[in-house]
Amino acid sequence: MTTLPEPAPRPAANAANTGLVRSVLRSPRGAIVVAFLVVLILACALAPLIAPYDPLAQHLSAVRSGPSGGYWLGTDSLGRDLLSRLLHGGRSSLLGVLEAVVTLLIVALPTGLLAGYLGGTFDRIAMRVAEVVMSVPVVIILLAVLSIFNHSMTSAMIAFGVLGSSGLMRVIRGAALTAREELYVTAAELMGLSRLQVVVRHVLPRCRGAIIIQASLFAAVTLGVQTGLTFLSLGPPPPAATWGGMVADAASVFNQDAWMLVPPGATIALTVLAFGLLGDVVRDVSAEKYAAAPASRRKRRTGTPETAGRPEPATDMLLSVRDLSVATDGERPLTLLDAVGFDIAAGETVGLVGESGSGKTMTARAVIGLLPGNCQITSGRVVFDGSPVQDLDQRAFRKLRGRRIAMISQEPMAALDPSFRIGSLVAEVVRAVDGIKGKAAHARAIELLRMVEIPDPEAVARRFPHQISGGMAQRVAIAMAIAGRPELLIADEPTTALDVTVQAEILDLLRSLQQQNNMAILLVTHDWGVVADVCTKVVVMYAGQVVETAPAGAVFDRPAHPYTRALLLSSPENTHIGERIQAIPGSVPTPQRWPAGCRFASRCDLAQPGCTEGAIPVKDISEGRLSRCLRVDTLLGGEARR
Amino acid sequence: MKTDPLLQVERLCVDYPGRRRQRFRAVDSVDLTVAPGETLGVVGESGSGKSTIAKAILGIAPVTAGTVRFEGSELDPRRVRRRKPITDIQVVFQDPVSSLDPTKTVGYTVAEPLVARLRRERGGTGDVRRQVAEMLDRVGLPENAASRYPAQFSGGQRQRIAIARAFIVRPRLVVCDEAVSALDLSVQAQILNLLTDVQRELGVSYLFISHDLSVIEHVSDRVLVLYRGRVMETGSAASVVQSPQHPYTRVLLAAAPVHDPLRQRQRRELRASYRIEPRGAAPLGDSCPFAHRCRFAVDRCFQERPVLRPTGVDGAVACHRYGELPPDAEDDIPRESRSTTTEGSK
Amino acid sequence: MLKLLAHRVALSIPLVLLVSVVVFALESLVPGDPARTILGENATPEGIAALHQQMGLDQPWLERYWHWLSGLFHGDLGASLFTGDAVTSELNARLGVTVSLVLCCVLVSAVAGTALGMFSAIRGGPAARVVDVLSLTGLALPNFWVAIVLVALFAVKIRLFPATGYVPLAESPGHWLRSLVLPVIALSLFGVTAVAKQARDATLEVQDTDYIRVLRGNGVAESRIVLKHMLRNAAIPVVTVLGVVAVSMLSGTVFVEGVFVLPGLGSLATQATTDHDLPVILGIGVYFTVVVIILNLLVDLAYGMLNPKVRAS
Ligand SMILES: Nc1ncnc2c1ncn2[C@@H]1O[C@H](COP(=O)(O)OP(=O)(O)OP(=O)(O)O)[C@@H](O)[C@H]1O
Ligand code: SF4
Ligand code: SF4
Ligand SMILES: [Mg+2]
Repeated sequence: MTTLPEPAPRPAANAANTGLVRSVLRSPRGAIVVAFLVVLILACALAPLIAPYDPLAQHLSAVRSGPSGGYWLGTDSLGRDLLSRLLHGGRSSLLGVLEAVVTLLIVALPTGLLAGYLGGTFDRIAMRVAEVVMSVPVVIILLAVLSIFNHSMTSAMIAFGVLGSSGLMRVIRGAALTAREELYVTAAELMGLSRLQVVVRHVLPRCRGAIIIQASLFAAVTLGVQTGLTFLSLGPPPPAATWGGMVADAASVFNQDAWMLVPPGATIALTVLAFGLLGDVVRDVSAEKYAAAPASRRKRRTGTPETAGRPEPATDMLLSVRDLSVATDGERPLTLLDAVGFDIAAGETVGLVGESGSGKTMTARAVIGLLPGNCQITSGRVVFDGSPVQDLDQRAFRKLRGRRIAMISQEPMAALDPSFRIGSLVAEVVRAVDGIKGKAAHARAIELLRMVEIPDPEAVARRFPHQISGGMAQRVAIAMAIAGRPELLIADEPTTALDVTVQAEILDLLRSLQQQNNMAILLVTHDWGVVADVCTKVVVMYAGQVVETAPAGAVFDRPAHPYTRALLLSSPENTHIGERIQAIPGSVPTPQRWPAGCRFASRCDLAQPGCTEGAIPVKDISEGRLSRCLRVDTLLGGEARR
Repeated sequence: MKTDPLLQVERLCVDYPGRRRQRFRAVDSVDLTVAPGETLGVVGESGSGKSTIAKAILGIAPVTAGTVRFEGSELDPRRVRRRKPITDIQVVFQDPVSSLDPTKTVGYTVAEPLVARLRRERGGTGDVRRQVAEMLDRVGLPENAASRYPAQFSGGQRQRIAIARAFIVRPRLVVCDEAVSALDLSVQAQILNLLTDVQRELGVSYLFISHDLSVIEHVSDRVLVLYRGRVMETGSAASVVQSPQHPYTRVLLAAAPVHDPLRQRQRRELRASYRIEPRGAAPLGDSCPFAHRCRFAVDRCFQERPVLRPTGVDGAVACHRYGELPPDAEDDIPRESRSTTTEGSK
Repeated sequence: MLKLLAHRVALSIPLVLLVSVVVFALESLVPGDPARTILGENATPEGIAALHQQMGLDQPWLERYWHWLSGLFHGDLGASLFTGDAVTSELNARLGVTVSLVLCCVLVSAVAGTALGMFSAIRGGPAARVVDVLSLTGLALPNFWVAIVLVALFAVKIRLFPATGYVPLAESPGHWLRSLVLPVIALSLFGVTAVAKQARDATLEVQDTDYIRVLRGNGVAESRIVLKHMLRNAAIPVVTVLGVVAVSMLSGTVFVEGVFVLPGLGSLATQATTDHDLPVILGIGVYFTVVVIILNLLVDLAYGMLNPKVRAS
């Protein structure tokens, strides 16, 4: 074995191993399923001791009696106790499942891991063989085996395990292949660990979830097949009790007594279900386990935010957002946006700036009515061109979308449906906003592609999204967005995924389209350079709130909020060569940990005791400039420079 | 006072299998050196071969030709495990999620390279735990971090863990492949500071890869500009960023927006002046790889591959028209008056 | 695309070889005398000797295999040990039943499964939970048990459908359909639920993609988003499952055909196993293999048509 000699990391690694089992047991479904399986297996294993009767003993006085005190599940047409037969029959069924699963693991585990991790020739051969084996009509092989080995269930189950292993092998290989791409596996290789060490320490743990899931699903399938074979009396010869055989017995007399079908049917179904569910539970648990930090879900107290500033939506604006709060659904709703407010005038470009998790995307999605399914607007107003839209249902909102408000998103590739050609995607939107179809829609689509300066639009229209570059894809997305000549374009980080040179082209394109159509843009970004390039106004967000609103020209020279200033200073661009960057200490609090007072207080160099006492109101500094800071005067007065 | 380089890469070529049985040359005859304690910045757009160079140096890329020397001795470019002092070169990756094994504790992750080395050298493994604790403290992680799992840390903290793992074996060279690109501005600043502090303390060299010119300018002593797998320009960070000589470097700089609407407007005009009608990229061969996008291209640029020509003290440019080009109109406004924000600092 | 087809066909040859070699090899490995096993405890020595000759047991297994294989290339799969009839003619007579059954099941699984799965994903809430519970039950109940219950309910209790038997399509399409309804329900229950599960997961995934959000955000009608974009993208993984489901349903015929007394390959396979009639089992193996290959081919074609990345290359 390859374990570290150092004792320190060991227990922790073990904790990770037991962790999966423990989390399965801790989930209610997992606990029930595991308890059921344990009880069933014990009961069947101990059948000779605990079964009330001999499974073969015929009680001719009580033929086909329903459930009763003496025979809990009743008797069959020969007066044999059904419960005893079930318990004894379970032995061969469960043993069969065990044999098949063990065989499966012995064959699939090493081949899958090696094929995935080593790749190359071994992988190619293994995959070919697996492909052939996957197409083998398994039942026929089983029948042949049963016929040749004179109804030996063990050989049939081993054969089933071997044949099933190609499926598991492919899954393990896939998992190993993904793991191999992980950078931490590369890092482990760079430490000079041997291949075996890398596989055992870093690849196998990642595959464990997949292995358990597949093995338990396979167990479910095996049980179905095993009982099916005994149903056809191809297993242990008749008087012996088998689950399938009991169904067959019941089938021959179901006209007189339907009850006899129930005990074996229900037992098989429940057991199959338990195996299947076990896989599901493991999948869910392992998906959660390494996903997110265990957030302390203690209820957070937010002082009722004062709606200082201008509570009434501005009517002369194209878009006016006031007091917008968004929270998750559920028993303990979590506030993600807290009283957000800003305005966009017609033809204006407003930059929505902030770090990850500050709520920029959430704000943008609230404006266009596309919040994630588990989130909703809890208060506030979104007024578009004079009429409130925050309460519109999806149907009513659709009248606005495309024609008046449109959007483009961050990942240009992900924004285009991969199954359709570019031309038909653009035509789809044209059809929605202009109500034209067919040739006319296609012609308009080409015109739009030309408008976004795509060279040779006819050729591009015939391509699929995966055949064009990221910059081109973003142009196509823009073409779709401007199809309905919208007055407001919501652009969520439209250039973040692009190279600077391509970013410059896209920003130029947006600017020229905007000037041609007098279109307003809400531009979500975290890049101050983009703000300087295209925005006329800036809205700075921090931890779900707007902390500053300012004209773009002013914010760089005289930021009116300590966070804005600190964020600008933390850019290497604003740092003299050879000096340390003035980084902001600490990190952005997650929505679970928003403090009661100023959310920036713990990182602010101007903080004073009053800052943490209650919610900070928004202050109107001068025309168009808003700041959510108690000490904005000090800041702008310049005494408190770092 | 020229010191012997720590890392010396010569005529490095890397080919990947491409479409229709053709091979795609990701890195084309690249030379570079990194001196002890120096930071070499590598900049270029996506697909220019930055990460491939890093992988070739680390020994995990399909190197077709060229040599990689470390402290004078040649490394087997294809087999990591054949290398003698493996731990002298370490790496910090971009993706803070994928670079840490989610099933291992932070302590295990950070200790692993150290333990692996100690075992190889058959030395005692005595104070691994103490060294891990010191290292975690050094990179600014809380004391109890060692027993927790990566999922319980934020992106910035994960990057600190990755840095701790790289530095625990006291490497001579650390390859930082977009090590701060996935981070938020404020976190990026913290990590950049950490990297420069550690470098000052331990005297390591960095090969620092980034697509962000402002980051490159901040951390690098020298810069290498890469385009389609070829070196376009090298030189000291100050000279490359302040007075770029190669047309591609100029385009790259002009495209990067600055934090000042006024200066940005000028930069925009500059970038418009470099813009030409798009032409399809010619296959790489005996031509300048940038010719189809270059405003200064002449016939010769499409027929002959430019070689790197020395510029001044330590720079070089691969352009046929070096010396004939008009000076860059950029930066009329002196740097110092960029914004009062920076001026008032310190 | 053509490459894909060639690949499939090329695969089929090793497949048939593998299946038959394994069977022959296993047979030779078994300790004891197969003829005695077949004829039972009280067989006469003459009977055993005659069977030996008929099975070719006096030759080494490789030779026997070669004999069988060369027969295969001439469309001759030998004769049944029991009835003495040519295996091919017996199987051809029964092929139609099994193919009708499996094709109907695939169709039902595809349509009903996709509809249920998408409905559950898009609706969410209680409707989704009902579908989930139904699919769990469908996954868990063994098909032969369902078959018996169906016969008990719909054929014996309310006499809605014939309990047993099969009417060829050519004879009477109406009766053909009626004779298949119950078997198809019993056999496709698993398929419907497996497809529904996959369709649900795929739809949930597609629902959360940027491109659906962008189409919504740019005003495309919900009905078109669901019927065109979601269906199309969710169909890609569904088709893959459908291939697996189809193969497992072919296996399922072995368990179900007997209950409905359908004269198909499945019921014959059971009979042949009980009788230790290896030539018939082998023959059915070849037929099943060919059906599986054709099913996989159809799946590949559908997959290639749905996935532009395959189509374009
Ligand atoms: N569906 C959701 N359910 C619960 N919380 C969510 C959901 N979507 C986002 N959040 C949380 O809401 C907050 C705001 O997220 P949002 O995506 O708006 O931030 P952002 O400013 O756009 O960040 P980025 O720069 O990373 O895109 C974050 O804390 C995020 O974790
Ligand atoms: S309110 Fe106080 S803590 Fe908050 S930003 Fe202003 S000065 Fe800093
Ligand atoms: S060699 Fe020619 S094409 Fe290349 S950068 Fe120089 S001028 Fe431009
Ligand atoms: Mg966002």
